[in-house]
Amino acid sequence: MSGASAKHKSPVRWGHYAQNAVLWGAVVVIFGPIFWLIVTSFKTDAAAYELPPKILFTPTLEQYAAALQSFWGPFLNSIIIVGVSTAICLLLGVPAAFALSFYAHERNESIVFWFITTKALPQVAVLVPLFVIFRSLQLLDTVWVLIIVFVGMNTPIVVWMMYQFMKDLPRGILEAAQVDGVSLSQMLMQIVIPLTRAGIASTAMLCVIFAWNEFLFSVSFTAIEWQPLSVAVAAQQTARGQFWAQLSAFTTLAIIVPVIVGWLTQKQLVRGLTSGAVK
Amino acid sequence: MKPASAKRQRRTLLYPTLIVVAIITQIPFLLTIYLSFQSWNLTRPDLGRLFNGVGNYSVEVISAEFGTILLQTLTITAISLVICCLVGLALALLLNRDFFGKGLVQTLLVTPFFVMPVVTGLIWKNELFSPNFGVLTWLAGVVGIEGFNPMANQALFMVSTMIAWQWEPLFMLVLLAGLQAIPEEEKEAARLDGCSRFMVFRFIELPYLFPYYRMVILLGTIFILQAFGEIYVGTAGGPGTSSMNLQYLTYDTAVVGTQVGAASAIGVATLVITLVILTTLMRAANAVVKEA
Repeated sequence: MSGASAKHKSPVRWGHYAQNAVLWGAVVVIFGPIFWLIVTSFKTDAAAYELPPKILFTPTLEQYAAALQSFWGPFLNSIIIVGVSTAICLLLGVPAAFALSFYAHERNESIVFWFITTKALPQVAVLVPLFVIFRSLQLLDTVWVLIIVFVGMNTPIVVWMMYQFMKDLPRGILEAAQVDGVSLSQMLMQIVIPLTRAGIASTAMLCVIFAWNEFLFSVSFTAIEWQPLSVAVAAQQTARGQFWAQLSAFTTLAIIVPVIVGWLTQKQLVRGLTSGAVK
Repeated sequence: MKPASAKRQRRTLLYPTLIVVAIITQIPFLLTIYLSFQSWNLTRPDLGRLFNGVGNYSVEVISAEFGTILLQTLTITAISLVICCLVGLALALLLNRDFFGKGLVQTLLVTPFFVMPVVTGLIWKNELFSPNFGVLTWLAGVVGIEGFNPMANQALFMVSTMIAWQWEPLFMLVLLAGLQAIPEEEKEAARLDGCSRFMVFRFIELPYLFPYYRMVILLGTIFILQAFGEIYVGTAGGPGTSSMNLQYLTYDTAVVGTQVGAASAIGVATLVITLVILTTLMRAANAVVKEA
C-alpha cells in the first residue's frame, strides 16, 4: 500500500511543479507589461528607447521629478471627484439597500433589478443629452459635472452590492431593536452600518476603482481645469508620447491608487458580485 | 411598529435614491430619443435646431458604416469574451490548489483589472507594439518577422486583446469562486470511483461552473460592449474606422463632430442593439444552465 502511494507520488509532484511553472508563465504575460512600465519609469529617456531592452541599468528618479510637475493638478481633481462622488453614492445607496432588504414589499426584487438594468444601458445612450444639459447649465469642466455623473453611475452598484450584504444580516437583532422602539437613524447608525462595515468598505473601494478609471464621460465633459487623471494620461500620451520614460513615470503614478485599492479588496469584491447573481 | 410607519420608513430611505438615479440615468435617455429626431450641429448655430423626422436614423443608422462598426463591435466582444472564458478558466483551475506563493500569484494576475483602460491602450501602443521601440516588436524582429506592426495591421484583434487583458481577472476570480464552492467530497468520491482528472472536470466542475459562467459572461458583455478608453488611446478607432466600436462612433459623432441629432440616433440604436444582445444571451445562458 505504502509502496503504491510512493510510486504514485512522484508524477503528482511533477504535475504540481509543471502547473506552478505555467502559472508563473501566465504572471509574466499578464503582469509583465505593468512591471515593465514601472521599470521603464526609472530609466533615462535614452535608456528607455534602447533595443534590445535594457534589464540592468542605474535607476534614476529624474522622470518622476518631471512627471510630478504635471501630476498634482489632475491627481487632486481625481481625489476630489472620486472622493465626493463615492461618499454621495454610499449616502444614497446604503439606506436604499437597507430599505429594500429589510422592509417586506412585493416590489423590492424588481426595484433591485431596475437598479442593475441601469448598468446595462450603454453610456452613449445618455452621453449626448448630458453633454447638452451640462453645456446649457455651464457645468462643463467644473468640479460638479463628473461628481453628478459618477453618482448616477455608481449608486446602482452600491445598492446592488449592499443589498447582498444586508440580506445576510441576522433579522432577529433588527426586529428586536424595532420592538424596543429604536429610531430609524439609530438603527442605521448603531446596528446596520457597524454590522456591514466590511461590505461597505469593499463597495466603496469598487466605486473608487470605477470612478478613478472612468474615461468616456471624463474626456467628454472636462477639459483643462477639472480633468481627472484618466484624461490627463491620455493627454500626456498626445503631448509627450515622444518622452516614453517620463510618460511611464506619469502613468505609474496614475495607477497606484486603484491598483492598491484593488489588491486590498479583491476577495470581498468577488463575494459581493457573485453572492446574489449565482443561484 | 405599525405597518404604516414601516412603509413610511421604507419610502424615506428608498425614494431619494430612486429619484436621483432616475434623474441622472433615465431622464437623459428620454431626451436622447427626442434629440435623435432633430437636426442640430453645435458648431453651426446658424443652421439652428430643426425637426428632422427619421432622417438621422435613415442616414446614420441604416448605413454601410454603421453596419460595419456594429459588426466590429460584435467581433471585438466575441473575441475578447472567448479569450476571457478560456484563460479565466485555465487560471482558475491552476489557482484552485495549494502551493507556495499562491496569494502573490493571484494578486499579480488580477492587477490588470484595476488599471485604467487608457493605460492599457498606452501600454499596447508604446511599450509592447510601438513600431520603433516596442518590446514585442523587437522580439518579432529577433525571430525574423518583418514589418511587424499589429496596431496598424491587426487593429481589431489588438483592441480585443487589450480588452481581454483588462477583463480576464474578473473571469478568473469569479470562476475560482465557483470552483471553491464545489464540495470536496463529491470530487473525492468521483476519484475513488476511478474518474480521471478530465472526467472530474467535465462531469463535476464544469456543471457547477455554469451559473458562474452565466453571471460573468453577462457582466463581461455589458462592460466589454462599452469599451472605450483602450480604443481611444490604443488605436483611436483607426486606421480609418477599422477598430471602432459603437461606443467610439457615438463619442466621435457627438463630441468630436458635435452633431447632436446624429449622435443621439446612434446612441438610441446602440441601446436597442445592446438590449437585444443581452436578452438573447440571457435566454441562451439560462437554457444551458437549466440543461446542466
